[in-house]
Amino acid sequence: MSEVIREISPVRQYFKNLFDGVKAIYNGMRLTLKYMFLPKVTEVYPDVKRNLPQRFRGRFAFLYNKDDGKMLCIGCYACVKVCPPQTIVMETIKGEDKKIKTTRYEINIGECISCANCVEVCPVGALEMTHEYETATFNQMDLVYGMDKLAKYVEKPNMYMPPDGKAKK
Amino acid sequence: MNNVIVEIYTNLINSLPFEPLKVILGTLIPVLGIVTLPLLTTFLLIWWERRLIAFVQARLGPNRLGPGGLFQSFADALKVLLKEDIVSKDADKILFSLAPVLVFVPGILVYSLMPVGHQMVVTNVNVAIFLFLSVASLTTIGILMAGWSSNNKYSLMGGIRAVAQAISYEIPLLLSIVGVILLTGSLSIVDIVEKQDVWNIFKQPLAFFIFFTCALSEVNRIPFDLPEAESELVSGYNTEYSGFKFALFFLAEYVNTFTLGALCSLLFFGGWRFPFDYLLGDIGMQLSNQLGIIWFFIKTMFFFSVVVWIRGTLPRVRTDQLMSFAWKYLLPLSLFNIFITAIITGFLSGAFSR
Amino acid sequence: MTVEFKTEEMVINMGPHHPSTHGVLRLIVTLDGEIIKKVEPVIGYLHRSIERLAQDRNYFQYLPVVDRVDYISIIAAEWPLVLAVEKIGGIEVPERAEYIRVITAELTRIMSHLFYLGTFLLDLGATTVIMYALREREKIIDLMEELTGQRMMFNYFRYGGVNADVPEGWLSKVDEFCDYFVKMIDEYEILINKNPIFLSRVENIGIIPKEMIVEYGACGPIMRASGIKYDVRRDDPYSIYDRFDFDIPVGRKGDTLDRYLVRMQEMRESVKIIKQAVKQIPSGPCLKKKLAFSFKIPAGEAYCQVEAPRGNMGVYLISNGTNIPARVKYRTPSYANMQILPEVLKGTFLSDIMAIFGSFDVILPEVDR
Repeated sequence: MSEVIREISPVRQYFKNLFDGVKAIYNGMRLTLKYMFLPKVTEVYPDVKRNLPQRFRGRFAFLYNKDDGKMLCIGCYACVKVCPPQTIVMETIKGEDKKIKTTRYEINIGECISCANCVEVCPVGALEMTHEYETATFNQMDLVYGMDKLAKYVEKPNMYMPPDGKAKK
Repeated sequence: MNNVIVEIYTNLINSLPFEPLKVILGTLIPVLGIVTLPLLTTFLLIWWERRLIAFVQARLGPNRLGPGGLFQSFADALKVLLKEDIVSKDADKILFSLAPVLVFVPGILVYSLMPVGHQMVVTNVNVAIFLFLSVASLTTIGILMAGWSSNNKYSLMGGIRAVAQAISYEIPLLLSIVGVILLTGSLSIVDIVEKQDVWNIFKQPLAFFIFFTCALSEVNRIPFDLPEAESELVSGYNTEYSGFKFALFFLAEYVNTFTLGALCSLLFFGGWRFPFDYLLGDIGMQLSNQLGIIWFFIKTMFFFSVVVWIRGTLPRVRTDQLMSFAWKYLLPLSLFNIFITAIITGFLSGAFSR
Repeated sequence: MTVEFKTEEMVINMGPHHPSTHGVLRLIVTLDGEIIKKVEPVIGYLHRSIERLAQDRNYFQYLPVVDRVDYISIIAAEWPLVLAVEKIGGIEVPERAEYIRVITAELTRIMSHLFYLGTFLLDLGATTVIMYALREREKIIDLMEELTGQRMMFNYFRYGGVNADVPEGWLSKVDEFCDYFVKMIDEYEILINKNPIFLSRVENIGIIPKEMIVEYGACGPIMRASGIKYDVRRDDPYSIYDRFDFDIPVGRKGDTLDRYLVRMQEMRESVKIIKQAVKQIPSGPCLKKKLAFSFKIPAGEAYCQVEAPRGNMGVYLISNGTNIPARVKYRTPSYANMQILPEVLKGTFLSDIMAIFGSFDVILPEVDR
């Protein structure tokens, strides 16, 4: 790279610095003045809530069938095995008809990192990430959600569809 | 032509039944005025600054409490006053408590010298501008005191920086005003304003530029907010303060910034006078004399807004650059300004006398 | 007559709670007036044992955890792990997934640089730029949220592809954003580049010579600002970076201004890459085969690195044939870069700590892990 550095006399340099500085500050000030009158980008949060995208991962939900009120869970423990903060507590018993029944399903919303790993691995689509995100409470123990609080009644299971170009149901 | 408000006030005082009451009320009312009005304005200023800086930054700012968030600063003041007043264990307790007062009082005191409208001045001293600046510079001692007594290294550095900065910037500040004084031939602020048929900004643009820069530095606003540089010294000299003492520092900062705007408008923008009122004849004079306080307030708020706008645009300078800027650019320029002004005024006055 | 004053050096504990140490770094600064004699960084306040956590979790379970290595540029932390597992396990990645990975990685690079720009200028005392920068960053976050469902911890990459295909119209939105963003970079440059106060704060401050860079193993924009033209994307191409046409901006002096300029230029280059990727992206699957959550990879070890916004982010992975990694080691750029800090800060002013440290763009969670 060849550069010709012109010698400038110190006096000219002094006034050039002054002039350049004032000009640059003027340009900057003009830009900020422009923004003073442009529309603002703030969302006035509790009054106006933004539209959540379809894939939004909010609070966790445990799905029940809307028609007969039966839970979709088959008690396979897959979600427990993939939970990174290991916050899902699950208990199952073998019923009289030899079917496994989930008796306890608890999750601490405060520990949950909303990664949706559990939703992804669930073989029957019995879990869902809802669009609910205002889960703050005054009491820490209220963050532990049992089956009753997690319950959501749906028409069809929330199956994860891998983007492998097949299996479009 | 007398100001109607002043006339009513004087008549009211004079109509009081006996002499001691006249004296007591006659002193008390102006004193109360100069103490309460700047404080009330400060609440407006805090809101206005937060709103304006938010607008510059494409945000909304405080907008929930009251119309446009106007009462936000009252809520904040209440919160600050309700906080515990902490004095750290190893602090120099007397100086620690004295410092906020010493910062706050000069800021308020200078309002007694400030004409806010025609005849609306508490004391018309004939060396007002001189007294004004000397009282205002007392603030620095308070800041150093706060920095020293806190027994905190950040505070100490903030205090030292404040003093170094004040020493450098007082000189060009005073020298820039000399130009105005030469033009007017008087040190009284009232005289300076009354002689500004044409605003001084048209005669002394360079002096205004220097004055504004130095005044920014004097009140420690960005880009010269080194004593309380947040990203370097946490909060500078007021790091250890809380509660009411912190509130005093905070109020002093805004009162001083308002004083900056007021001085700009008094010295360079015709103070309470309506723009080009001498061209409008009698109507212009009436506008200036009767509604002076409104023009004064509008001008001052404009300069306050410019300060906020600058805060929204520029980064902070470094200590050594701050010094070199003062000594290398501002001082020569202000001397040059005095030189030119002196020659021109001398030539003009000499030409008229012969 | 000269009077000798007895002076003492002053030791300031900067941090862990200080407005401008970007998290919880502690600097023990020895000062002579305002001039720095010695700086000793103390780290470890944000240690979350990310590497140890891997040894309790299967590969699938560990993926969301690595998002937390670097919360400013999330994809850059996910990618090397995914690459390493794919390398050992011999997992193929479909073409479309590679393109989506490149787009998201470059978007997060812009995100990270925007955050750098804002905080750097905030450290210098300019309060407005961070708001403008975060405004654009918010737009990227919205795009990523639409794609992945989360605003920060995306958990988007999978072994052998990505979690989900792009939603309808997303690519055109990215394209629109790129056009908009280039204009915004111009605006930042009007506001910052020629500002005399900014220039006096950054020019010829914190010069890092080439030799020091090599000795300390610094990487990323800091290295390039000092004049070393090395970029993992070009010199050790992973994924499909060899298909894109982009320049590697290089600084001349290695001062704080150069580091700023290099990052600004890198944002433009990222926009260039995104625009090419959006144009070339093929159709097809985004995941070759959905792996079971407890999949195993053969025993072996691999080191994979990517060009993170702050430099080479690498993962050294040892697998023992089970579904749980035997050892994961993150080589993070901030850690390497931070070691230069004491050397550079020597002899500068107190105010320069902020300028120099800000220009390093160190993210503390990445240092401590």
